[in-house]
Amino acid sequence: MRKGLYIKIALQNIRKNAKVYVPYILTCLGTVAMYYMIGFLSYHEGIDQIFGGGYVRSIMLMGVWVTAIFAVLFLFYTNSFLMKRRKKEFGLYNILGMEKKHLSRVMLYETVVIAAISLVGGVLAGILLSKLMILVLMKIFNLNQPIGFMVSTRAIGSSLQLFGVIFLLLFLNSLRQIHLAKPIELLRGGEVGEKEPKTNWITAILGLLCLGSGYYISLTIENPLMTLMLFFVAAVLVIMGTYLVFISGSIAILKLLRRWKRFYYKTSHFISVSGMIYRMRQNAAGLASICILSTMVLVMISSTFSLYAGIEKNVAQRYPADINITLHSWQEEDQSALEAHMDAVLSAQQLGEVQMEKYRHVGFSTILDGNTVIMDEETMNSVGTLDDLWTVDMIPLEEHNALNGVQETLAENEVLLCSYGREYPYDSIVIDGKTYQVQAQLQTTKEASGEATASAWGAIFVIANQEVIDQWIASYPLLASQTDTIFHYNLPDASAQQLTALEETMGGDALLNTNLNVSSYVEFQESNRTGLREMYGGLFFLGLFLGLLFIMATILIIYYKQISEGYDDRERFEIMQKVGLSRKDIKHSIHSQVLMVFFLPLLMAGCHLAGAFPAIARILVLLQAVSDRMFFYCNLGCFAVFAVLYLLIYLITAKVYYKIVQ
Amino acid sequence: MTILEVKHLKKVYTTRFGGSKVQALTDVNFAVERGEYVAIMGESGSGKTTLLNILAALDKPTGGQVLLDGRDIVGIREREISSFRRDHLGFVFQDFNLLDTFSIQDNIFLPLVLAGKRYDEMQQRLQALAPQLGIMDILKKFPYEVSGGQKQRAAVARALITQPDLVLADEPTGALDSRSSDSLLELFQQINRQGQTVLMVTHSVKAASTAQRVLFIKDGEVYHQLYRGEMSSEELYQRISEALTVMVGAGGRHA
Ligand SMILES: Nc1ncnc2c1ncn2[C@@H]1O[C@H](COP(=O)(O)OP(=O)(O)OP(=O)(O)O)[C@@H](O)[C@H]1O
Ligand SMILES: [Mg+2]
Repeated sequence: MRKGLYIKIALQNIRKNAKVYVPYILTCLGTVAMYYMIGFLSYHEGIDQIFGGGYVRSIMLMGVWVTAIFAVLFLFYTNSFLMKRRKKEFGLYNILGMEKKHLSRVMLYETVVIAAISLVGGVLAGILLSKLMILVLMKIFNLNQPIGFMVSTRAIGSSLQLFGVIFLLLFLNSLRQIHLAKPIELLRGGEVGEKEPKTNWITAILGLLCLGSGYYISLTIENPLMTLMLFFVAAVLVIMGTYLVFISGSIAILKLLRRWKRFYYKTSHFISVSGMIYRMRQNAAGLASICILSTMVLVMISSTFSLYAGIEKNVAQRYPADINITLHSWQEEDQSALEAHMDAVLSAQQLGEVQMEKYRHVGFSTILDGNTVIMDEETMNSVGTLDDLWTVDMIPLEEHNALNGVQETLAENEVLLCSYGREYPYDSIVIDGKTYQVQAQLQTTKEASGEATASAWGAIFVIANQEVIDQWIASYPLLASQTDTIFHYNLPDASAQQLTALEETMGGDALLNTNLNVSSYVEFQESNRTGLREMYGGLFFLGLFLGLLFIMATILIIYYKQISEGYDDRERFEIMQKVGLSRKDIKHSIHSQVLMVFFLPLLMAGCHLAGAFPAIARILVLLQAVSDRMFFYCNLGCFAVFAVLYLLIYLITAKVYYKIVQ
Repeated sequence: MTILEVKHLKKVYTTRFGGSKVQALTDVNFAVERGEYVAIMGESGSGKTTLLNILAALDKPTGGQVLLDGRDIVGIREREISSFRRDHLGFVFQDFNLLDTFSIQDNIFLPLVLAGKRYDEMQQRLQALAPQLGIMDILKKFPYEVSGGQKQRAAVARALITQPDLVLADEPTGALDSRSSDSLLELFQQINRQGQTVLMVTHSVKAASTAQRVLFIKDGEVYHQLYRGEMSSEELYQRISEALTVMVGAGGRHA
């Protein structure tokens, strides 16, 4: 009987507070569904069969972790908002004679009801939507095959466990709050935030410093190898800085404005400055979170999309032909032996037309001191920094002419030069103590591809007469062991399946199995394309997935912000009118404040994105992905789409706000 | 000299969907002289707040006239109403209506800031007013940091700082304990002696007995009025109690 009463009160509470509870339950449900789906993609063996094993499931496992951590943080955040709203009600019950023991029991039933709805609904929704996820993933992978309906019991179990624990913790947390509070404090719960916080200049300045140094790092990292680590440091600094600046900085500045009497005591400033102080202290953490989440969404989607979209270009650069063979020799007889071997292999497979081209080159990584190529290791170690590291690749002129179908000639002290990945700013080059004039810098040349362009640093391709190169090799013995012949085999008639099969019969992406006495290795374009697609496609999907999750969080935070402000503003609205502010002015003032508070995080996120751009662009270069320009357009596009989405969220939630205020 | 004249004032509330109608004011007539201190009493639901809202131009009457300084406030255009309210009227409410976004001082300044006054002038006026109201110590504090009585005194300061023709108070002692009420009523008498016209709605016989005149409203009409004349507050208190007993006993249309 009494038990029935508590359940009844619990259900009533949920129904009465529908405005805050329905979104909360939906969020819990959505988070469970998202967690199930990512868990499904990571745990279900069927995924391997569709997407070819490899990376997909391990990439998704990363997503599982991120989602789990996010779920804990996010549900605690929204729950604290609920508790703030509800404290008053608890106080009332308490004063009306309900003991804390009974309140706790009501809380228990509430939690159980919400947990049950979220878990059951979430897992069901997850199971239904996981099919959609697979279809999206297949679209990204460019796959097209019928799939059945799959359910992962492991993902279900994992979801129930994780969220069971989260709900238990949430329950314990609300118990703690009920037990710690005195009735009068419970009654005032909703108003605790109204106290004006002390201005904390130290944290405000610390915040600015964090932001500034984060930006500085991102804008000035030159060394591509350090970028990844430094970028992480910069990101942490910017996140901390954002919170500090939103929480202390904004209030410090507004209070400074308030102290400036001549400015403050003007009709428009008076109301907006005090209103903003109020709003900022209510929402600073929420706004900072929105800003960070938005930035993450933008960074994730734009960079993973760039990677994904850059796959074709990337593959064409690194693996220019269907079959790329590197032979560690310049000898004619070795070359013919390899060609004979390939002819035999290819004709046995009957793959139609075979196009072949080859060139000799010698390449190594070294330090450039200005325009001087350092050839001995000792000097290299003493003068060099990583920033001066280059790949220097030398090609005999006759090879260049034959490969590109041109008829260049060079004087004895002349070279042709093509740089890749970094500018080469000089018009001469010093090799082996001799200065060579750069007759022309080529925009592109066929040799500027393949492994020589695969490093994180820049490369120069130096084309010189055979005799000149022979001299270099003679005076620098290490070069003699680096002389390679590159073979490009293109099979225009062969299908992707045939190429994959060919690779398997040739023994995979490895050393060529011949009876030559020099080593060689083979790389297939098709299998590498598939590999990249698995990796970058998986990452892109994960970017989209987490983006969706974060956007969901953003919407909810914004929604709660609008509700809590709406209730507060309603009273103020009335009072101001009584004191002599016209309706129109009030509306105008409130509207502009709401807009400002709303779009501040978006603006800041845009800033962060711009600040992060140079660093991320460099990381992407490290991953051999895409040009800066391509990445720039990705960023711009993502931001535009996100801004439109954000505006939509605003328009929808603003409706709730104005409904409350009126 | 008459400062406020209310003629045949009528107010009918229509619920939003045009359903039932509530006649809050039927035919209210009275006048207030400059420098008077008038209390309005009546049962709950008799239309006191409605009357005050109309006098404050917060609401429009269904019929009749309200003349403030000879000017009909019903006819004032929407655009001017706010500034009119600011320049001519001061308000004190039962629940103080201070804004929690402002310090006490800024709450008091609010109408002056809206009127575009200079900061020096605002300070001057406040310095003249604050000692009398006993709020010097709390000017820098925020509403949530002070007591109800202090809040109400701050609200009085806000009403007086514009030097209005008429101060309107709706149950100003309603949320105060008896000591705070007494000091607030003392304050009203004091400012009235300095020439301020005050119109106060109240349920409290004690509060009403500090006024010079008491109007009784019943069924949307002025049912009766009492002048203090030469009476002491105690005598007036007696008379008001008697009048109320008669009024309640007499019943009315609704009885
Ligand atoms: N906005 C409104 N819409 C409809 N009816 C209203 C509205 N405001 C007041 N009324 C009705 O008008 C009548 C007078 O209300 P009013 O608030 O003026 O009474 P009051 O004398 O101030 O009462 P109290 O002493 O309880 O404050 C009441 O019957 C009330 O229900
Ligand atoms: Mg009333």
